[in-house]
Amino acid sequence: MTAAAEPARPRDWLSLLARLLLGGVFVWLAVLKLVEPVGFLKAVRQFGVVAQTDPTLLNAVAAWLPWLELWCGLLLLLGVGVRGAALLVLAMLLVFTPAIASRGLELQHASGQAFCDIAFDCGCGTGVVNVCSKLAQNTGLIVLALIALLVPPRRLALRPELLGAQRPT
Amino acid sequence: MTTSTRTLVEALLIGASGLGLGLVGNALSPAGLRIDRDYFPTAAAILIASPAPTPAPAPASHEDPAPTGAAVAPVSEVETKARERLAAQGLAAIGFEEARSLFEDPSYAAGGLLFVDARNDEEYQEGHVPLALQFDHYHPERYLDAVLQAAPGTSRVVVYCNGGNCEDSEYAAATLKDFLAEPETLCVYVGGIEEWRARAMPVETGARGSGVLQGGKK
Repeated sequence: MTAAAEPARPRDWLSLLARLLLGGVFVWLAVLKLVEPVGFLKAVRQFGVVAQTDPTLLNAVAAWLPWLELWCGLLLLLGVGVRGAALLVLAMLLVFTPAIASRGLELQHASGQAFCDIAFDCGCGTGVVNVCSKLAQNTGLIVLALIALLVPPRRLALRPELLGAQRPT
Repeated sequence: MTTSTRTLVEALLIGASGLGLGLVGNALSPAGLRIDRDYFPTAAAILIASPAPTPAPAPASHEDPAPTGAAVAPVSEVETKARERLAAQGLAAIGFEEARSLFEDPSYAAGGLLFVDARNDEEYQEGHVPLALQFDHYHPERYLDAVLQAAPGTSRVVVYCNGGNCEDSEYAAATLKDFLAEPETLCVYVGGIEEWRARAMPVETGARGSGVLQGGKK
């Protein structure tokens, strides 16, 4: 029996929704960064996640990461290598979310404002954002990435697994 | 191969192809970054000869809230740090009163002084110090020639950006220092366009010399 012929189960739709939302958000944010890569370059430098003594590494991360985000987002939307793409997206979120929280704490310390009153340009492509809103958004994306990673994709996916036998959909 | 192993290998394949896409995409994109460039240069400290002033304390009236997004810490503290960074690089910093004095100097309109806006196109178009030249140091190939043509013979070259936590004026000044024949004329207006606007000084919108002015005291 093919997956397409099977009755739709709630988890299939959940998986589909998760990867479409996640893929859509990643494509959108990647395009915003690619249009103005300097903003992302400044943010990567400000976060200090890359050694600032090496401009080449800093530039490479800022220049290539948005393309990787775009690539992962497109694969999730198309349903190609879904779990691999979801794992990469999860890894990126798990690096940048603590970095955003850390930057927010730095600014809170410097300004004396309440943490959730802090707003800054996190280099995420959307300009100035409230730190708590951004952290909540990223937490949601992490949940979506976990769903896409853990629930096998069975609906509207071109090639859910790059390796191994394919289930027709 | 287990599902976990397959997922990991899949992620590595996607990551490698994504980085390959990044390599090609960045190289082909008009907005792409140059991987080998130092976009955050620091000027080697040199002795600044007169007429560049020694860094002055931040103006007492800098109580305005920091511009959203660019700064969260109080402006006076941010500016003090900026002045310290500039001094360490041998770059002079000026405050609002000196910037206004230079702007109102009759020689400014005649080309004897130069204001340089270190922000991007969108910000420059939204409003800059009247007759300021744009020098977005992230894209020197677009702007450097105009600055180098205008700078000779000027007594001061005043570089500014938004103010607050904005460091683009510092990097722009550090970049220009390598190209100007008289780098000692360079100085950075630390308060930037935010302070300029807050002090009701005129800004010009659109292209340089558009004549479309906003603000300014009546």
